[in-house]
Amino acid sequence: MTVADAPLGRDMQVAAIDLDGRHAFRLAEIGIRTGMRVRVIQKGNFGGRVVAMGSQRIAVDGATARAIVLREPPLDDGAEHDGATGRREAGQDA
Amino acid sequence: MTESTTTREPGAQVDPTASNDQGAPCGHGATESCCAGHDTQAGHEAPCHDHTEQGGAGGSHAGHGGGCHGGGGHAHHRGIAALFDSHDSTIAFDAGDGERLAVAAPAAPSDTADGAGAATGAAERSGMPRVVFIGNPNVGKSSLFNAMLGMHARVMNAPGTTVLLESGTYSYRPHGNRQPAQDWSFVDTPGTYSLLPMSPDEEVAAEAVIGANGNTTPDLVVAVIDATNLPRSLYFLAQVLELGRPTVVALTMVDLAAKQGLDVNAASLSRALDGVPVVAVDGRVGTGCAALADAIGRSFDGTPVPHGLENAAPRPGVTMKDWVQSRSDIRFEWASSVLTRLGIGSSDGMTTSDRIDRVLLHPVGGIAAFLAVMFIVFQCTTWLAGPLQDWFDVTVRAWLTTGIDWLFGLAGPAALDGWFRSLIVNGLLDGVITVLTFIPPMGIMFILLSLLEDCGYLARAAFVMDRAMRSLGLDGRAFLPIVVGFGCNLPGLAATRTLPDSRQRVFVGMLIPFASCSARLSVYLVLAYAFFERYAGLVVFGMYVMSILVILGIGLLLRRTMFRSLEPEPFAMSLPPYQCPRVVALLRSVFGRLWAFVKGASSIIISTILVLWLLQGIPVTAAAGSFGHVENVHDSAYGRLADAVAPVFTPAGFGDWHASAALVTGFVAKEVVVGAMSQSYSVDEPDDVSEADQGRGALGEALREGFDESSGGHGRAAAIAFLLFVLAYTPCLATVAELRRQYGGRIAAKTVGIGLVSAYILAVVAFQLLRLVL
Repeated sequence: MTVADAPLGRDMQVAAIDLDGRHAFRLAEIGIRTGMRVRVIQKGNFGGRVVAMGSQRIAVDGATARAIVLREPPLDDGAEHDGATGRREAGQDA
Repeated sequence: MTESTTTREPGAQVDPTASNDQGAPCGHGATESCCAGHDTQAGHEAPCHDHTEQGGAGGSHAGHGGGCHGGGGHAHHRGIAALFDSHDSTIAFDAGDGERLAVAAPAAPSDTADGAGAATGAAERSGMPRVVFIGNPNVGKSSLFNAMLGMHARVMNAPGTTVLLESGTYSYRPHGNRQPAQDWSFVDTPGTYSLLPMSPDEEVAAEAVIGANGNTTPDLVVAVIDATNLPRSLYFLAQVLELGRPTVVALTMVDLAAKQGLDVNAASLSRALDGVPVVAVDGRVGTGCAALADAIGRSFDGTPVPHGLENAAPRPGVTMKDWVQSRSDIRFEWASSVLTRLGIGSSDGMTTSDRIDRVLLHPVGGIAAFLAVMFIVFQCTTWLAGPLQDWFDVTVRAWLTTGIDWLFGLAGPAALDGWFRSLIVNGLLDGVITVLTFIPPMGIMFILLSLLEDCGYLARAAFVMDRAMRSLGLDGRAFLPIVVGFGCNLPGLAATRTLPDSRQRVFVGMLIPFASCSARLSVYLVLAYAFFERYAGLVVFGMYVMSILVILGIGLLLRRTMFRSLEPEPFAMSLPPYQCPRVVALLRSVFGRLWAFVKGASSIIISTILVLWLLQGIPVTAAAGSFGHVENVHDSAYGRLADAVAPVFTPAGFGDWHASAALVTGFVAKEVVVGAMSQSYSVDEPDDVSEADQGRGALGEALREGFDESSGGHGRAAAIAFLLFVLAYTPCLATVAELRRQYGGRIAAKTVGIGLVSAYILAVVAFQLLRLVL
């Protein structure tokens, strides 16, 4: 599943970013990194999406939305999510 | 350059550790009135033991210096010289990727073993301290900068680029002691998400803060970070802190963060940053500027480097790509640890901005909303500005002419008929009025832009229109300047400043003159009614369709030549929360921009109009009259110029001096083309006659005869060719002056050159084809 076809309002986790290194790194700097918990909250035209990460809102175009691969977050959600790095302090997803 | 020595009266000693919720508005101008009357003790409570100041503490900074004046930038010539000076902007259109961004300055001393240390700067400082403001896009950095410098911020191009930098000198008077005022050089940089640049603008920002590529190493960095986006802001702050320069953090949008349930304040953040000075600011109202100035004044000698980071200033030969990427994990980790220390978790709730975005970003509704916004902007810059322009052009002109005549009347009747009065009224005053008539659309455009930008909608517009503009390699926001350009090119150019990439700004700026502005409509109407009365509406409509096609054609051509590096990039943009724009900040910004326009464009406009007056006033035949009083314009130097130019247009069917004279006049303003035709054909029409009636009447008759004669009986084909030439040949003088002011003389010359060549080709091809059927 990617950001493009993720249901709205559902918590997901970034599994991979299928972009070249330069753009993947910029996405990471903006806040979208592997392991990060995200929610797709808005559909835009031509496949564009708005992704929420905590209080941050990132708008991505359709092609970028299709390049961000998501997975279901782990069921064990006892640990606080690391908002900056996308890593989990406990119960980290392998 | 405007010099300001404004300083405030010394006030009470400020507790440097005070942390308060209220701010003291400051900044040039506003500072004078608001700070002087503040209670210098009010609100000082809850001291914290770090370098924190928040919001100025209810006016406790009454003793701060706040004066400033513009600094840096190009020294502009004035008058005719402005047309020929060497000011220019060479654009490096290579994609910035940090590979060639290496530091030439000596690296800062290495850090202590545990990673903690101090960023120092005093030992290296000489001359006026340089303070560089840097931050992510849309964090309120420029609002803060303008609040501190007021009207005295000066826009300049970064050396060798068209990337805009604002700079100015801030006069700071330390309060509570007798030290003299200190002047600091402030530089504002384009917003960037990283010191690893992906565009020329980001590259300029990175170079300014690093001290690379000939930039002076800053003595202090003000890192502006957004309280509502702390994870991303802290990561960027980590990069800045590891540069090893003294750094003060300006924390914006604290009020919005509080509304979102994020408990962020300057004191707690400073503690979490191990003592790095943090000041809460709001540039929209000027809150916290004085406290920020205090923090800057105390920090030149060094600020702490937080634990987890190190003074890792890039060394000569190290590329920024290596420097940024090699330590990114450490910086992400550090940002995470700061958030943990602050106790800030994720805030997952639906916000008011999210609810608004459900409408404004909706796949269908979002486009409808965007088009509605465009319609309102277009109407305001044309329909609303029109009467104001007429007021300047008619009423103010009449007042001033009456006043000038009264003055000349004092010298006797002969003075009223002399060439000097003609120079003042028909040359100088005409130039001044021309400048004044552009103030309403420019002012309205600046107000609307500030509103759209400050409230957060422009970032949404980029998202909504991204796909539509992508084929030209442009940001969705490029749609707005082009649409506005169809009303008037000048505010369209003003709107290009909303584009974050300087290449896009130049690209769109070069396309806007091909948008058929309303001034050209008068020419279309007269010729359409003169030659195609039954189909006049269709002809005018066809001209607008042609305008769009020309924009697309020139756009694709430029995209494949000058702007090859503008490849479509993946779109990922942080959306700022919606905010209510503040009137004071908005007016300050509007007046500043208007003044910059008047200052920058008026010299060229007035100079050129004076040259035209001179050409029209020089008699070239014995019976033509005296200097300044040539009866028939054909007997003036201007007429000779038109004669000389006319044969060039023979292949287009209008190789006639009447037409070429009108086109030369149209270079000043398209509104006067019809008047110039009436003058050259000696047709005396009442002022209130419509363009349609002019086309049907005596002027239309004269035009038909003239075009039929010059085209060998194919007058209608020549008329179409003439209209196409008017559509594309050159924008008005004010637009050329603004092109030059914003992008440099070379870009302005290229734009006019491309216009002339494409207009000529269009006109010749159209005539040669249409003469077969018309």
